[in-house]
Amino acid sequence: MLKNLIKHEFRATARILVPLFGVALVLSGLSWLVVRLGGILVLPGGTGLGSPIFGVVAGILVLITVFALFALMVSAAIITIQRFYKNLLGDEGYLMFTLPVTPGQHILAKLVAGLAWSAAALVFVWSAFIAMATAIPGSLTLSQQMAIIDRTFEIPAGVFFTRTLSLFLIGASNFYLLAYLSMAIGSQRQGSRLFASFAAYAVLNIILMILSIVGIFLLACVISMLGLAPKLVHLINSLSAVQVLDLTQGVLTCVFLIGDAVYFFLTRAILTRRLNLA
Amino acid sequence: MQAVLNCQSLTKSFGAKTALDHFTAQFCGGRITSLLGPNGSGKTTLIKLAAGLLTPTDGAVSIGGRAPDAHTKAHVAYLPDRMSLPGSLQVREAIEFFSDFYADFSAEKASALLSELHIQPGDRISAMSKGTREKLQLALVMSRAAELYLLDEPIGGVDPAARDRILDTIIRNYREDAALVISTHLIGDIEPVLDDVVMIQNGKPVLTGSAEELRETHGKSMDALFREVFKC
Repeated sequence: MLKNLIKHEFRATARILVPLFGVALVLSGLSWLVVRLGGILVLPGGTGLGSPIFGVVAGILVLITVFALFALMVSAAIITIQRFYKNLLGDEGYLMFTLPVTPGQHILAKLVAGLAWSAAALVFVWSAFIAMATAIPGSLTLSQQMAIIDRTFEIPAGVFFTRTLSLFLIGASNFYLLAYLSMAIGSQRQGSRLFASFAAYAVLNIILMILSIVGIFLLACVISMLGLAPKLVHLINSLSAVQVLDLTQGVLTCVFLIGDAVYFFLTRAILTRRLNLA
Repeated sequence: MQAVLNCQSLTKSFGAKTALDHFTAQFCGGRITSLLGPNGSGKTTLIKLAAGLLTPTDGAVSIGGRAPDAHTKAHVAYLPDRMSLPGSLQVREAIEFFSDFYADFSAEKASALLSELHIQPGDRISAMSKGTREKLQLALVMSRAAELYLLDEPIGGVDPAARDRILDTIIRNYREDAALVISTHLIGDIEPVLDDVVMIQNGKPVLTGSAEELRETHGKSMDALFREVFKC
Protein backbone atom coordinates (compact mmCIF):
# COMPACT_ATOMS: atom_id res chain seq x y z
CA MET A 1 0.00 0.00 0.00
CA LEU A 2 2.84 2.41 0.83
CA LYS A 3 4.30 1.76 -2.61
CA ASN A 4 0.95 2.72 -4.22
CA LEU A 5 0.68 5.84 -2.07
CA ILE A 6 4.18 6.94 -3.11
CA LYS A 7 3.41 6.19 -6.77
CA HIS A 8 0.28 8.37 -6.76
CA GLU A 9 2.03 11.06 -4.75
CA PHE A 10 4.80 11.27 -7.36
CA ARG A 11 2.21 11.43 -10.15
CA ALA A 12 0.29 14.24 -8.49
CA THR A 13 3.39 16.33 -7.76
CA ALA A 14 5.01 15.61 -11.13
CA ARG A 15 2.13 17.39 -12.88
CA ILE A 16 3.43 20.67 -11.43
CA LEU A 17 7.14 20.07 -10.86
CA VAL A 18 8.15 18.41 -14.15
CA PRO A 19 7.15 21.50 -16.19
CA LEU A 20 9.13 23.67 -13.74
CA PHE A 21 12.18 21.43 -14.18
CA GLY A 22 11.65 21.74 -17.93
CA VAL A 23 11.65 25.54 -17.80
CA ALA A 24 14.76 25.54 -15.58
CA LEU A 25 16.48 23.13 -17.97
CA VAL A 26 15.75 25.34 -20.99
CA LEU A 27 16.89 28.51 -19.20
CA SER A 28 20.03 26.77 -17.89
CA GLY A 29 20.84 25.50 -21.37
CA LEU A 30 20.38 28.95 -22.90
CA SER A 31 22.48 30.53 -20.14
CA TRP A 32 25.25 28.00 -20.67
CA LEU A 33 25.20 28.81 -24.38
CA VAL A 34 25.30 32.59 -23.94
CA VAL A 35 28.03 32.35 -21.26
CA ARG A 36 30.06 30.19 -23.64
CA LEU A 37 29.43 32.48 -26.62
CA GLY A 38 29.91 35.57 -24.47
CA GLY A 39 33.25 34.25 -23.33
CA ILE A 40 34.30 33.70 -26.93
CA LEU A 41 32.92 36.96 -28.30
CA VAL A 42 33.39 39.46 -25.49
CA LEU A 43 36.16 38.51 -23.08
CA PRO A 44 39.84 39.34 -23.77
CA GLY A 45 41.49 36.44 -25.53
CA GLY A 46 38.27 35.62 -27.36
CA THR A 47 37.76 36.06 -31.05
CA GLY A 48 37.65 39.78 -30.47
CA LEU A 49 34.33 40.40 -32.18
CA GLY A 50 33.08 41.96 -28.92
CA SER A 51 29.51 43.02 -28.10
CA PRO A 52 28.63 44.84 -24.87
CA ILE A 53 24.92 44.50 -25.69
CA PHE A 54 25.38 40.74 -25.99
CA GLY A 55 27.05 40.83 -22.60
CA VAL A 56 24.11 42.68 -21.03
CA VAL A 57 21.59 40.29 -22.56
CA ALA A 58 23.67 37.33 -21.41
CA GLY A 59 23.87 38.79 -17.91
CA ILE A 60 20.10 39.28 -17.70
CA LEU A 61 19.49 35.74 -18.94
CA VAL A 62 21.87 34.31 -16.37
CA LEU A 63 20.14 36.34 -13.65
CA ILE A 64 16.73 35.03 -14.74
CA THR A 65 18.17 31.50 -14.72
CA VAL A 66 19.50 31.95 -11.18
CA PHE A 67 16.05 33.13 -10.05
CA ALA A 68 14.44 30.18 -11.85
CA LEU A 69 16.77 27.74 -10.13
CA PHE A 70 16.04 29.31 -6.77
CA ALA A 71 12.32 29.18 -7.56
CA LEU A 72 12.68 25.48 -8.42
CA MET A 73 14.12 24.72 -4.97
CA VAL A 74 11.43 26.77 -3.26
CA SER A 75 8.64 25.26 -5.40
CA ALA A 76 9.62 21.71 -4.44
CA ALA A 77 9.26 22.69 -0.78
CA ILE A 78 5.99 24.60 -1.25
CA ILE A 79 4.39 21.79 -3.28
CA THR A 80 5.42 19.22 -0.65
CA ILE A 81 3.81 21.20 2.14
CA GLN A 82 0.75 22.23 0.14
CA ARG A 83 0.10 18.60 -0.88
CA PHE A 84 -0.13 17.52 2.76
CA TYR A 85 -2.64 20.26 3.55
CA LYS A 86 -4.81 19.86 0.44
CA ASN A 87 -4.69 16.09 0.03
CA LEU A 88 -5.02 15.05 3.66
CA LEU A 89 -6.68 17.89 5.53
CA GLY A 90 -8.99 19.23 2.82
CA ASP A 91 -11.93 17.57 1.05
CA GLU A 92 -9.57 15.00 -0.52
CA GLY A 93 -8.97 13.77 3.04
CA TYR A 94 -12.41 12.12 2.89
CA LEU A 95 -10.98 9.84 0.21
CA MET A 96 -7.44 9.47 1.57
CA PHE A 97 -8.36 8.62 5.16
CA THR A 98 -10.86 5.98 4.07
CA LEU A 99 -8.21 4.12 2.08
CA PRO A 100 -6.93 0.93 3.76
CA VAL A 101 -3.69 2.60 4.84
CA THR A 102 -2.51 3.98 8.18
CA PRO A 103 -1.93 7.67 8.90
CA GLY A 104 1.77 6.85 9.32
CA GLN A 105 1.90 5.54 5.76
CA HIS A 106 0.26 8.72 4.49
CA ILE A 107 2.90 10.85 6.23
CA LEU A 108 5.76 8.67 4.95
CA ALA A 109 4.49 8.71 1.36
CA LYS A 110 4.26 12.51 1.31
CA LEU A 111 7.69 12.85 2.95
CA VAL A 112 9.41 10.41 0.58
CA ALA A 113 8.01 12.16 -2.50
CA GLY A 114 8.84 15.60 -1.10
CA LEU A 115 12.43 14.65 -0.25
CA ALA A 116 12.94 13.04 -3.66
CA TRP A 117 11.84 16.22 -5.44
CA SER A 118 13.95 18.38 -3.11
CA ALA A 119 17.01 16.20 -3.75
CA ALA A 120 16.38 16.29 -7.51
CA ALA A 121 16.07 20.09 -7.39
CA LEU A 122 19.31 20.45 -5.41
CA VAL A 123 21.27 18.17 -7.74
CA PHE A 124 19.81 20.02 -10.75
CA VAL A 125 20.79 23.41 -9.32
CA TRP A 126 24.32 22.22 -8.47
CA SER A 127 24.75 20.79 -11.96
CA ALA A 128 23.44 23.98 -13.58
CA PHE A 129 25.81 26.21 -11.60
CA ILE A 130 28.80 23.95 -12.26
CA ALA A 131 27.93 23.82 -15.97
CA MET A 132 27.63 27.62 -16.21
CA ALA A 133 30.85 28.13 -14.24
CA THR A 134 32.83 25.79 -16.48
CA ALA A 135 31.31 27.39 -19.63
CA ILE A 136 33.45 30.50 -19.20
CA PRO A 137 36.58 30.03 -21.33
CA GLY A 138 39.68 30.04 -19.16
CA SER A 139 37.78 29.06 -16.01
CA LEU A 140 38.59 25.95 -13.97
CA THR A 141 37.47 22.70 -15.55
CA LEU A 142 35.18 20.33 -13.71
CA SER A 143 38.03 18.00 -12.72
CA GLN A 144 40.04 20.96 -11.42
CA GLN A 145 37.08 22.12 -9.30
CA MET A 146 36.65 18.60 -7.90
CA ALA A 147 40.37 18.45 -7.08
CA ILE A 148 40.05 21.67 -5.05
CA ILE A 149 37.18 20.11 -3.07
CA ASP A 150 39.29 16.97 -2.51
CA ARG A 151 42.18 19.05 -1.08
CA THR A 152 40.03 21.41 1.01
CA PHE A 153 37.81 18.81 2.67
CA GLU A 154 40.29 15.88 2.59
CA ILE A 155 37.63 13.61 1.05
CA PRO A 156 36.78 12.78 -2.58
CA ALA A 157 34.43 15.33 -4.15
CA GLY A 158 31.81 12.64 -4.74
CA VAL A 159 31.77 11.81 -1.03
CA PHE A 160 31.60 15.52 -0.16
CA PHE A 161 28.56 16.04 -2.37
CA THR A 162 26.88 12.87 -1.08
CA ARG A 163 27.36 13.91 2.54
CA THR A 164 26.14 17.45 1.82
CA LEU A 165 23.09 16.04 0.06
CA SER A 166 22.42 13.71 3.02
CA LEU A 167 22.62 16.58 5.50
CA PHE A 168 20.35 18.64 3.25
CA LEU A 169 17.80 15.82 3.13
CA ILE A 170 17.86 15.32 6.89
CA GLY A 171 17.37 19.05 7.37
CA ALA A 172 14.60 19.10 4.77
CA SER A 173 12.83 16.17 6.41
CA ASN A 174 13.00 18.04 9.72
CA PHE A 175 11.44 21.10 8.08
CA TYR A 176 8.69 19.12 6.31
CA LEU A 177 7.78 17.04 9.36
CA LEU A 178 7.58 20.16 11.53
CA ALA A 179 5.32 21.73 8.89
CA TYR A 180 3.13 18.59 8.83
CA LEU A 181 2.86 18.68 12.63
CA SER A 182 1.93 22.37 12.53
CA MET A 183 -0.80 21.68 9.96
CA ALA A 184 -2.11 18.72 11.97
CA ILE A 185 -2.33 20.98 15.04
CA GLY A 186 -3.91 23.78 12.98
CA SER A 187 -6.55 21.40 11.64
CA GLN A 188 -7.96 21.02 15.15
CA ARG A 189 -9.59 24.42 14.75
CA GLN A 190 -13.00 24.58 13.10
CA GLY A 191 -12.22 27.73 11.13
CA SER A 192 -9.11 29.66 9.96
CA ARG A 193 -7.15 26.43 9.78
CA LEU A 194 -4.41 27.85 7.58
CA PHE A 195 -3.83 30.75 9.97
CA ALA A 196 -3.84 28.29 12.90
CA SER A 197 -1.23 26.15 11.10
CA PHE A 198 1.08 29.14 10.64
CA ALA A 199 0.54 30.11 14.26
CA ALA A 200 1.32 26.54 15.38
CA TYR A 201 4.52 26.60 13.29
CA ALA A 202 5.60 29.87 14.90
CA VAL A 203 4.83 28.62 18.42
CA LEU A 204 6.63 25.30 17.84
CA ASN A 205 9.71 27.15 16.59
CA ILE A 206 9.70 29.37 19.68
CA ILE A 207 9.42 26.27 21.89
CA LEU A 208 12.29 24.63 20.01
CA MET A 209 14.43 27.75 20.39
CA ILE A 210 13.75 27.85 24.15
CA LEU A 211 14.51 24.12 24.46
CA SER A 212 17.77 24.62 22.52
CA ILE A 213 18.88 27.49 24.77
CA VAL A 214 17.96 25.57 27.92
CA GLY A 215 19.65 22.46 26.55
CA ILE A 216 22.88 24.28 25.73
CA PHE A 217 22.86 25.99 29.14
CA LEU A 218 22.35 22.67 30.94
CA LEU A 219 25.10 21.05 28.88
CA ALA A 220 27.45 23.92 29.72
CA CYS A 221 26.61 23.56 33.44
CA VAL A 222 27.27 19.82 33.36
CA ILE A 223 30.58 20.29 31.52
CA SER A 224 31.60 22.97 34.00
CA MET A 225 30.58 20.93 37.09
CA LEU A 226 32.47 17.89 35.88
CA GLY A 227 35.55 20.00 35.07
CA LEU A 228 35.51 18.85 31.47
CA ALA A 229 35.93 22.30 29.91
CA PRO A 230 39.76 22.30 29.60
CA LYS A 231 39.75 18.75 28.15
CA LEU A 232 37.05 19.72 25.67
CA VAL A 233 38.96 22.84 24.56
CA HIS A 234 42.13 20.78 24.15
CA LEU A 235 40.24 18.17 22.10
CA ILE A 236 38.69 20.75 19.74
CA ASN A 237 42.04 22.52 19.31
CA SER A 238 43.66 19.22 18.36
CA LEU A 239 41.13 18.58 15.60
CA SER A 240 41.58 19.80 12.05
CA ALA A 241 38.98 22.12 10.48
CA VAL A 242 37.61 19.19 8.49
CA GLN A 243 37.29 17.07 11.62
CA VAL A 244 35.42 19.87 13.41
CA LEU A 245 33.11 20.06 10.38
CA ASP A 246 32.56 16.30 10.56
CA LEU A 247 31.80 16.51 14.28
CA THR A 248 29.34 19.36 13.75
CA GLN A 249 27.63 17.46 10.94
CA GLY A 250 27.35 14.38 13.15
CA VAL A 251 25.78 16.32 16.02
CA LEU A 252 23.34 18.12 13.70
CA THR A 253 22.34 14.82 12.08
CA CYS A 254 21.54 13.28 15.48
CA VAL A 255 19.55 16.32 16.60
CA PHE A 256 17.57 16.45 13.33
CA LEU A 257 16.83 12.71 13.38
CA ILE A 258 15.52 12.91 16.95
CA GLY A 259 13.37 15.85 15.89
CA ASP A 260 12.13 13.90 12.87
CA ALA A 261 11.03 11.01 15.06
CA VAL A 262 9.24 13.28 17.56
CA TYR A 263 7.41 15.25 14.84
CA PHE A 264 6.44 12.08 12.95
CA PHE A 265 4.97 10.31 15.97
CA LEU A 266 3.11 13.40 17.18
CA THR A 267 1.63 14.03 13.72
CA ARG A 268 0.63 10.40 13.41
CA ALA A 269 -1.03 10.49 16.83
CA ILE A 270 -3.06 13.58 15.92
CA LEU A 271 -4.17 12.14 12.58
CA THR A 272 -5.08 8.81 14.20
CA ARG A 273 -6.89 9.99 17.31
CA ARG A 274 -8.03 13.52 16.54
CA LEU A 275 -8.63 13.68 12.80
CA ASN A 276 -10.83 16.69 12.17
CA LEU A 277 -11.58 17.17 8.48
CA ALA A 278 -13.40 20.33 7.45
CA MET B 1 -28.63 -12.17 10.89
CA GLN B 2 -25.15 -11.00 11.84
CA ALA B 3 -24.53 -7.29 12.38
CA VAL B 4 -21.86 -5.92 10.07
CA LEU B 5 -21.88 -2.50 11.73
CA ASN B 6 -22.43 -2.37 15.48
CA CYS B 7 -22.84 0.85 17.47
CA GLN B 8 -22.87 0.54 21.26
CA SER B 9 -23.76 3.64 23.24
CA LEU B 10 -21.84 5.66 20.69
CA THR B 11 -21.24 9.26 21.67
CA LYS B 12 -19.40 12.02 19.81
CA SER B 13 -19.02 15.52 21.15
CA PHE B 14 -17.43 18.53 19.50
CA GLY B 15 -16.62 20.81 22.39
CA ALA B 16 -19.88 21.59 24.17
CA LYS B 17 -22.03 20.22 21.35
CA THR B 18 -23.02 16.53 21.42
CA ALA B 19 -23.58 15.35 17.86
CA LEU B 20 -24.29 11.71 18.74
CA ASP B 21 -25.67 10.82 22.16
CA HIS B 22 -25.39 7.21 23.38
CA PHE B 23 -26.48 5.89 20.01
CA THR B 24 -27.03 2.12 19.87
CA ALA B 25 -27.96 0.24 16.71
CA GLN B 26 -26.92 -2.72 14.55
CA PHE B 27 -26.82 -2.80 10.77
CA CYS B 28 -27.04 -6.25 9.25
CA GLY B 29 -25.78 -7.74 6.01
CA GLY B 30 -28.26 -8.08 3.16
CA ARG B 31 -30.34 -5.11 4.41
CA ILE B 32 -30.71 -1.57 3.11
CA THR B 33 -31.00 0.80 6.06
CA SER B 34 -31.74 4.46 5.84
CA LEU B 35 -30.59 6.96 8.44
CA LEU B 36 -33.33 9.55 8.43
CA GLY B 37 -33.27 12.84 10.19
CA PRO B 38 -33.23 16.59 9.73
CA ASN B 39 -30.04 18.55 9.15
CA GLY B 40 -27.75 18.42 12.19
CA SER B 41 -29.37 15.29 13.65
CA GLY B 42 -26.13 13.25 13.70
CA LYS B 43 -26.42 11.17 10.50
CA THR B 44 -23.12 12.31 8.98
CA THR B 45 -21.35 12.02 12.35
CA LEU B 46 -22.46 8.40 12.65
CA ILE B 47 -21.32 7.59 9.13
CA LYS B 48 -17.95 9.31 9.68
CA LEU B 49 -17.43 7.32 12.89
CA ALA B 50 -18.12 4.08 11.03
CA ALA B 51 -15.83 5.15 8.18
CA GLY B 52 -12.99 5.82 10.63
CA LEU B 53 -12.89 9.56 9.97
CA LEU B 54 -13.79 10.40 13.57
CA THR B 55 -13.00 8.73 16.90
CA PRO B 56 -15.77 8.28 19.48
CA THR B 57 -15.87 10.41 22.61
CA ASP B 58 -17.52 7.48 24.38
CA GLY B 59 -19.00 4.10 23.47
CA ALA B 60 -17.86 1.94 20.60
CA VAL B 61 -18.34 1.36 16.90
CA SER B 62 -17.21 -1.86 15.28
CA ILE B 63 -17.24 -3.37 11.81
CA GLY B 64 -17.16 -7.14 11.78
CA GLY B 65 -16.23 -7.00 15.45
CA ARG B 66 -13.28 -4.68 14.90
CA ALA B 67 -12.85 -0.96 15.58
CA PRO B 68 -12.41 1.05 12.35
CA ASP B 69 -8.79 0.88 11.15
CA ALA B 70 -6.82 0.23 7.95
CA HIS B 71 -8.04 -3.37 7.96
CA THR B 72 -11.79 -2.54 8.16
CA LYS B 73 -11.41 0.22 5.55
CA ALA B 74 -10.51 -2.47 3.01
CA HIS B 75 -14.08 -3.81 3.42
CA VAL B 76 -16.00 -0.55 3.77
CA ALA B 77 -17.12 1.50 0.75
CA TYR B 78 -17.70 5.10 1.76
CA LEU B 79 -19.39 7.82 -0.28
CA PRO B 80 -18.90 11.24 1.38
CA ASP B 81 -21.36 14.10 1.15
CA ARG B 82 -18.84 16.14 -0.84
CA MET B 83 -16.46 15.71 -3.77
CA SER B 84 -13.31 14.02 -2.53
CA LEU B 85 -11.62 12.99 -5.76
CA PRO B 86 -8.68 15.20 -6.83
CA GLY B 87 -9.81 17.52 -9.65
CA SER B 88 -6.58 17.03 -11.58
CA LEU B 89 -7.34 13.34 -12.24
CA GLN B 90 -8.82 11.96 -15.40
CA VAL B 91 -11.52 9.31 -15.07
CA ARG B 92 -9.14 6.51 -16.12
CA GLU B 93 -6.66 7.69 -13.44
CA ALA B 94 -9.40 7.63 -10.81
CA ILE B 95 -10.24 4.04 -11.82
CA GLU B 96 -6.56 3.12 -11.55
CA PHE B 97 -6.41 4.78 -8.11
CA PHE B 98 -9.30 2.69 -6.81
CA SER B 99 -7.85 -0.47 -8.40
CA ASP B 100 -4.52 0.12 -6.65
CA PHE B 101 -6.02 0.40 -3.18
CA TYR B 102 -9.11 -1.79 -3.10
CA ALA B 103 -8.85 -5.52 -3.82
CA ASP B 104 -12.67 -5.69 -4.11
CA PHE B 105 -12.85 -2.97 -6.78
CA SER B 106 -13.81 -4.01 -10.31
CA ALA B 107 -12.36 -1.71 -12.99
CA GLU B 108 -14.50 -3.40 -15.65
CA LYS B 109 -17.70 -2.76 -13.68
CA ALA B 110 -16.67 0.84 -13.08
CA SER B 111 -15.94 1.40 -16.78
CA ALA B 112 -19.29 -0.12 -17.76
CA LEU B 113 -21.16 1.99 -15.18
CA LEU B 114 -19.43 5.17 -16.26
CA SER B 115 -20.16 4.41 -19.90
CA GLU B 116 -23.89 4.12 -19.02
CA LEU B 117 -23.62 7.49 -17.29
CA HIS B 118 -21.95 8.96 -20.41
CA ILE B 119 -18.70 9.68 -18.59
CA GLN B 120 -15.63 9.13 -20.78
CA PRO B 121 -12.29 7.71 -19.53
CA GLY B 122 -10.40 10.78 -20.75
CA ASP B 123 -12.66 13.32 -19.03
CA ARG B 124 -10.93 15.42 -16.39
CA ILE B 125 -12.74 15.74 -13.07
CA SER B 126 -12.12 19.47 -12.76
CA ALA B 127 -13.94 20.01 -16.08
CA MET B 128 -17.08 18.12 -14.98
CA SER B 129 -20.29 19.59 -13.60
CA LYS B 130 -21.13 19.00 -9.93
CA GLY B 131 -23.74 16.39 -10.79
CA THR B 132 -21.38 14.47 -13.07
CA ARG B 133 -18.65 14.45 -10.43
CA GLU B 134 -21.09 13.03 -7.92
CA LYS B 135 -22.12 10.31 -10.37
CA LEU B 136 -18.46 9.48 -10.99
CA GLN B 137 -17.77 9.21 -7.27
CA LEU B 138 -20.86 7.04 -6.78
CA ALA B 139 -19.95 4.75 -9.69
CA LEU B 140 -16.47 4.18 -8.27
CA VAL B 141 -17.82 3.42 -4.78
CA MET B 142 -20.53 1.08 -6.10
CA SER B 143 -17.99 -0.81 -8.22
CA ARG B 144 -16.62 -2.27 -5.02
CA ALA B 145 -17.86 -5.56 -3.56
CA ALA B 146 -17.62 -4.24 -0.01
CA GLU B 147 -19.15 -5.74 3.15
CA LEU B 148 -20.49 -2.36 4.26
CA TYR B 149 -21.55 0.58 2.12
CA LEU B 150 -21.83 3.97 3.82
CA LEU B 151 -23.50 6.48 1.52
CA ASP B 152 -23.80 9.99 2.97
CA GLU B 153 -26.54 11.99 1.25
CA PRO B 154 -26.05 10.35 -2.17
CA ILE B 155 -29.11 12.12 -3.63
CA GLY B 156 -28.91 15.34 -1.65
CA GLY B 157 -27.66 17.79 -4.25
CA VAL B 158 -29.12 16.51 -7.52
CA ASP B 159 -32.32 17.01 -9.51
CA PRO B 160 -35.25 14.53 -9.17
CA ALA B 161 -34.52 12.73 -12.44
CA ALA B 162 -30.88 12.23 -11.45
CA ARG B 163 -32.01 10.95 -8.03
CA ASP B 164 -33.85 8.05 -9.65
CA ARG B 165 -30.78 7.27 -11.73
CA ILE B 166 -28.53 7.34 -8.70
CA LEU B 167 -30.80 5.12 -6.63
CA ASP B 168 -31.07 2.71 -9.52
CA THR B 169 -27.26 2.64 -9.76
CA ILE B 170 -26.98 1.91 -6.05
CA ILE B 171 -29.58 -0.88 -5.99
CA ARG B 172 -28.29 -2.61 -9.11
CA ASN B 173 -24.64 -2.60 -8.11
CA TYR B 174 -24.18 -3.18 -4.43
CA ARG B 175 -23.05 -6.55 -3.10
CA GLU B 176 -26.30 -8.18 -2.02
CA ASP B 177 -25.07 -9.73 1.22
CA ALA B 178 -23.51 -6.46 2.32
CA ALA B 179 -25.02 -3.93 4.70
CA LEU B 180 -26.03 -0.77 2.88
CA VAL B 181 -26.49 2.36 5.00
CA ILE B 182 -27.84 5.47 3.31
CA SER B 183 -28.21 8.78 5.09
CA THR B 184 -30.73 11.18 3.65
CA HIS B 185 -33.49 13.62 4.46
CA LEU B 186 -35.24 12.92 1.13
CA ILE B 187 -37.38 10.05 2.41
CA GLY B 188 -39.89 10.09 -0.44
CA ASP B 189 -37.30 9.10 -3.04
CA ILE B 190 -35.68 6.36 -1.00
CA GLU B 191 -38.72 4.76 0.62
CA PRO B 192 -39.42 2.20 -2.15
CA VAL B 193 -36.02 0.53 -1.69
CA LEU B 194 -35.73 0.50 2.10
CA ASP B 195 -35.59 -2.55 4.34
CA ASP B 196 -34.89 -0.83 7.66
CA VAL B 197 -35.12 2.66 9.04
CA VAL B 198 -33.29 4.47 11.82
CA MET B 199 -34.69 7.93 12.57
CA ILE B 200 -32.25 10.19 14.41
CA GLN B 201 -32.89 13.46 16.20
CA ASN B 202 -30.39 15.40 18.31
CA GLY B 203 -27.95 12.50 18.10
CA LYS B 204 -30.36 9.92 19.51
CA PRO B 205 -32.41 7.26 17.71
CA VAL B 206 -36.11 8.13 18.00
CA LEU B 207 -37.62 5.37 15.85
CA THR B 208 -36.03 2.21 14.48
CA GLY B 209 -37.25 -0.93 12.79
CA SER B 210 -38.24 -2.60 9.57
CA ALA B 211 -39.77 -0.11 7.09
CA GLU B 212 -42.64 -2.47 6.34
CA GLU B 213 -43.48 -3.07 10.00
CA LEU B 214 -43.35 0.65 10.78
CA ARG B 215 -45.73 1.39 7.88
CA GLU B 216 -48.16 -1.28 9.10
CA THR B 217 -47.92 -0.27 12.76
CA HIS B 218 -48.38 3.44 12.17
CA GLY B 219 -50.66 3.11 9.17
CA LYS B 220 -48.78 5.69 7.11
CA SER B 221 -45.92 6.00 4.69
CA MET B 222 -42.35 6.61 5.84
CA ASP B 223 -42.61 10.10 4.37
CA ALA B 224 -45.70 10.92 6.48
CA LEU B 225 -44.12 9.28 9.55
CA PHE B 226 -40.95 11.31 9.02
CA ARG B 227 -42.96 14.54 8.88
CA GLU B 228 -44.83 13.56 12.03
CA VAL B 229 -41.73 12.56 14.02
CA PHE B 230 -39.70 15.59 12.98
CA LYS B 231 -42.51 18.11 13.08
CA CYS B 232 -41.11 21.57 13.88
